Amino acid sequence: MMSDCYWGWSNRQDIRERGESGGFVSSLIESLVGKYDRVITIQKTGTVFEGNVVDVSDPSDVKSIQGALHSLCISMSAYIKKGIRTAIVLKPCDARAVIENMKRNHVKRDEVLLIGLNCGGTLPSVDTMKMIDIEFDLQPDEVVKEEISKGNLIFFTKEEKFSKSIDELEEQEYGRRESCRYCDFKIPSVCDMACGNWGTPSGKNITFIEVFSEQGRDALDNAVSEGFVSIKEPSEKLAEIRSKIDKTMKKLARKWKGKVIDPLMELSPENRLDYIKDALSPCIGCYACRKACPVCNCSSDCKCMQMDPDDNFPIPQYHAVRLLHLMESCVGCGNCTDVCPVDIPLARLHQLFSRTYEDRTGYRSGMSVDDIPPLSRGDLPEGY
Amino acid sequence: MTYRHFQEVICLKVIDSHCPGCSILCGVQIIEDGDEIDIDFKKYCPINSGKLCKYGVDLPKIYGNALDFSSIEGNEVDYEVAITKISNLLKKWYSSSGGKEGIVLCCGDATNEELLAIEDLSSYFGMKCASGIGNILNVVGSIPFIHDIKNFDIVEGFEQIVLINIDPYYQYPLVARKLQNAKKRGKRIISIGPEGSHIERLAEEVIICSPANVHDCFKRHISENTEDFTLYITSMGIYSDPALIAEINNACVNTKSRAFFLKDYANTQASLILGFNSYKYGIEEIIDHIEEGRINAMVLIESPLFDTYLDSSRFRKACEKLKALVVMQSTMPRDLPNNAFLLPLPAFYKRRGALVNACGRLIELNGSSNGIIDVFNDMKKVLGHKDKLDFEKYVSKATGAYDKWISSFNDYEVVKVPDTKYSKEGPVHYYVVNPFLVRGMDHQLPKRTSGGLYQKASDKERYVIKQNIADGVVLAYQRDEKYKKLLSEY
Amino acid sequence: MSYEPKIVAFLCNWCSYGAADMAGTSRIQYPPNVRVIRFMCSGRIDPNFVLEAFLRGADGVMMTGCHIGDCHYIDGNYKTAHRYEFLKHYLDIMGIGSQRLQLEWCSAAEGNKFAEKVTEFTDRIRELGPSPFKRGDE
Repeated sequence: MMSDCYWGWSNRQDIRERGESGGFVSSLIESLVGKYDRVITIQKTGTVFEGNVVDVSDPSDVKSIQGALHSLCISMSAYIKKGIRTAIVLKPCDARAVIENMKRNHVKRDEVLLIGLNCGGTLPSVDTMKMIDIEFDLQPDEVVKEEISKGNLIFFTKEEKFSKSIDELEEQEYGRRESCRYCDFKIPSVCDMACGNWGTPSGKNITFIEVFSEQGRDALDNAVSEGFVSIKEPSEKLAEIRSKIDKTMKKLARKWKGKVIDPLMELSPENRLDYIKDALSPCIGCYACRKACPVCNCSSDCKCMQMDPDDNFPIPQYHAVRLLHLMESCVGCGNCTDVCPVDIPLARLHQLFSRTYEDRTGYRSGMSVDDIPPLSRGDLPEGY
Repeated sequence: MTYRHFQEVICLKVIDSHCPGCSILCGVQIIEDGDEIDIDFKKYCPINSGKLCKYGVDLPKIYGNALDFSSIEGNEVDYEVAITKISNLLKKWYSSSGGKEGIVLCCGDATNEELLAIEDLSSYFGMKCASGIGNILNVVGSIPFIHDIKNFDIVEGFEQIVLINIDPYYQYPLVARKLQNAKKRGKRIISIGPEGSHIERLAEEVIICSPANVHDCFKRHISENTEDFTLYITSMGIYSDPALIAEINNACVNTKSRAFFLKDYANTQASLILGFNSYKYGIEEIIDHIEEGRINAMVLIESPLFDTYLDSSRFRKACEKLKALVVMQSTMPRDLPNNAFLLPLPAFYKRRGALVNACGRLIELNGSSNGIIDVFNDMKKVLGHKDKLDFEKYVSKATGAYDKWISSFNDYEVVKVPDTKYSKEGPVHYYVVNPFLVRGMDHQLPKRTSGGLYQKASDKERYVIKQNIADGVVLAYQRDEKYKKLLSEY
Repeated sequence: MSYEPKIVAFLCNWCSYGAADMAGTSRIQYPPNVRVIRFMCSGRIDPNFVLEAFLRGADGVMMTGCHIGDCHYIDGNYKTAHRYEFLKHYLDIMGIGSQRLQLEWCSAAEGNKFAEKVTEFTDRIRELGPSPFKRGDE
């Protein structure tokens, strides 16, 4: 492996036992307070479904720090403000969005420390609360812990454990959010480091850490030398298993792409246009999708908003422009669908354009700050 | 360990809150970053799954327009000076009111606890409370609450849903979402009202008629359709027609059908539960009473009707006739009457307390300020009172009232239907009530894509005369002087 | 009533507009379906203009400019080429079809070529039929 890999855990016994994989991320975050102006992660505010973003630098407010919650998808990249040094815990899709923002000078590389978390997908909160009621007769406040392990979604109450296979749930319209199902970026290699529990021995409360940059290296060394965490070499065999799991997840993602995106390409052009027209017709012009989108950071008079409000086009001009601009920058986070008040499958539409563009040209958004977005290119084009 | 003093950089704070745009009370998270206010989506809120309408997405702009000073008759003063003068003004009015009435008007943007405190304080000054829909309550009494609808999703549970004078895509988009689900599950949706363009997406039967004829159409419809398990959805606010509300109420008597009334202010539902309506008149009647001289003092709490009412100039003129006018609100007024004593309140999201949404759900606001209760305690101190209003006492009183209400089961009773407020001759000026209109703000008409369903506006303004709206009806989404000109030409 | 395609052509001031001018003064015939919009450089063509043309009912859109290496502003037309490639993919996925968008380089002396290309394109669009954006709206 080109990068450094470790097993790590918190040096504080209580955090190690309570934390999902040894509390490494919690203690790492603690070690960064004071070295960065803001240290941003998620805290649980009630049941396993409820949480919000918190700046750990202000300890008065913090209830229970998590790196991420399985049952609540929060978009993190908007919490990075230019000019403020920030350490932030991110999902892979958030990290890709941050890279896209760096390309456009909304974020400076040396002002942020990106702590990535491996991610197999998140669940839609309200639908999952309904599901546990219908399938297990459980109320949200009875759940003390939830876990995703070996393809199963498991809910723990004080006494019992309820488990259901994710594949089964997803056949039934429950399970992960749609954009998570066909997402193939599970280990956030664009961050300074990636943490997760793949490749660790089960039941031992250990986190697998892969370091990708100097900054990540320094943060880790600091956390170790100041006594917050301990690390050691991972076993080769388990590190192999981690790569295998990644490959399996990527294969599953390809299968889902085949189920969701490819059928739209198999439609005839007229039928596909009708599908897009029909999907966008309930739009009420709230612009929540633009607010929620992590790569939409144009100022308030951006191009998608410059239109005559009384125009009556076959598809709203706002969406026509965004489908074009996001073809080169959509990271597939699915926030647009999450926030649409009339349930338009926006992520599916944006990914239809950007995945097929990626298949055709090889350009993938959010992977490296050195990739120049197609619409910004001014170099001599090939074949001309 | 080097520890940089965190006060050098302002911390980010995320506050769990609810949108005050209408009575659905969608969940939203407010982000305070120094002086900047932003929102994030509260995806775990069962009411809306984090989704917001255009008003919710614009909350940063709305909360950014906070009122942060006090003034007496146009001159800016300190908060303490304003409190003293206001207390003395109301005390003096009370001792020499000479048989005239004084009212405290709060349309609904206050917590349960604040509403109870307002009732206490108004009776202390010999005033009565009004919520602006007193005229409707006069006609229908107390409307039974449908317990089945406590969970918003139950909208999807009725076999047939009738929308009356409502366009959910414009007015209450979160209801549109529930209706979309209902339609997917095969439920029948019917719409009766002046406008039919975008509703065709949802409703399989669209009956277009002028607002003056809506309740005749409605009566005819229910006589022809005896489907029992029907849900009637309409809005109940300061612009609603009491005749229509009465008709819908009567349609539910002795049937399994129910009526769901959507309200336009955040906590109007609680004002019904807590009995906050000792002055049972509507806004038009209140203005009449002021002009006649029957009312000569008014306290406006979070109700800047001199800016936001459709006939705001008439309201403002009436205000200027009052002997005592006190205005307490959290947003910047645009055109304050000259005789007003103005006091700022903390922004809605900063308050703590409970709210009740249109589905009867008890919701907590997670702020830290007691809002108007603190203001009233300051007033009591000025007037030499030693006892303070106790927030916790109000909490238990409000919770008690809520528990009693939620566990009582009433039946619909027949009421007398008054005449409609709309004239049957000539063009009808119909406002599509939405949170922007109610708060006197610009509302950008959402883009419609059902091609061919409506033609371009005859003049490219917000209010359009569309072909498939009822004859003689002019629709408007925001209040504007130009409308009157359009009406006279039409 | 048979349909006559509406073609919108974006021309650059220095080269392709000169070509159109030359076609005109030399009385070279080409179909009147084309509506011409002049830019100082083809690099000024924002992809949104192409979108808006289609949304407003254009059946075909032409982007024209100077030959690569001859741009009056040196490298403006490099950007045009990138945007053209990008738009082609967009139109294919949208269901309008990339055949409805054409990129041509025409120098100011190539009046004949300009007329030829416009005629060819108009015939192609006539054959393809009205833009799918227009179906069901009239």
